[in-house]
Amino acid sequence: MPDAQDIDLIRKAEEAAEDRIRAAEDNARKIRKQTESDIKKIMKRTEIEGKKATEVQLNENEAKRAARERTFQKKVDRIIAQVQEASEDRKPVAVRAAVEMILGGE
Amino acid sequence: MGGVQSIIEMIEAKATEKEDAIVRDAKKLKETKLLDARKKGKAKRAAMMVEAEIQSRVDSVKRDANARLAARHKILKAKEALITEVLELAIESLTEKHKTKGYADMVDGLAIEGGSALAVEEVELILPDGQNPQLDLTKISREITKRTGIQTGVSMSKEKIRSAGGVMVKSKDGKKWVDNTFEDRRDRRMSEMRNLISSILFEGLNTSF
Repeated sequence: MPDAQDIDLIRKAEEAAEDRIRAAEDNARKIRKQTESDIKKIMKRTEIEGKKATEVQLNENEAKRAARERTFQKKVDRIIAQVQEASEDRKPVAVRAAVEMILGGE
Repeated sequence: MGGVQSIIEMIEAKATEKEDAIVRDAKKLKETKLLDARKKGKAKRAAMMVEAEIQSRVDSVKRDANARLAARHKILKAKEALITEVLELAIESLTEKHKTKGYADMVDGLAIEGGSALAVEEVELILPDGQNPQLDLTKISREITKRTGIQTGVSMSKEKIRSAGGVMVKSKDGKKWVDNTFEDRRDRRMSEMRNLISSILFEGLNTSF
């Protein structure tokens, strides 16, 4: 049979063990808490990086579109210039035809 | 004492084991969760890029379509300006007509055309203000009568109208009239005339883009 001193020693050892386990559980809780915080940081950082990358991509697309539109506008201006130039020679004929139509029978 | 010591050592060993397991599990869970978060983050970023790219393309298509529409409008406006110019030049050219030799004959013709359309016994001719061509009323009367089969008397009205040229033909009672001034004839045939001018000015020109 163990004497009182031995029982006391075992009880103290059990208490110390429980303390160590509680400390380990506290430590685990801190790790979990830190993990949650790290996850939030990762998601936040991802969002910021995503937005930046998206902005860069959109700016690139917009620059390409704007360049395309400038080229297109130049083409349209060229067409208008051609129409105006060509019609300059044809104008007298058109005026005569219009006059004839105004004066002609209905 | 040896037995107690071994019990204490066993308690400590079990505590150490449990302690290690708790921390190990927490760390493992941390690694798994962080890995998962990184994967989710990567996927979210990719999704953001895809969504933005789609939106950008939709916007781009819309803006390209608007630009094409605006371009068509711009070309049409330029053509419209040229057609309007021709119409103005035509009226300008007609304004000078009353000073020319054949003007009276021209107005005779317009009076005959107007009088024939009215088909009444008495018509009056109203000329533009400031114009007094020597019209052949006998010829006008004869031609109207010939065309309508109704003996038609023709006289000049003291009334004047504002016009670049032509004539307004009115029945004597003022109930019916034919406006054969240049402006009115132009307006009546505007659509036809615009098509004609357009075909002369722009035929064969490639205005597609």
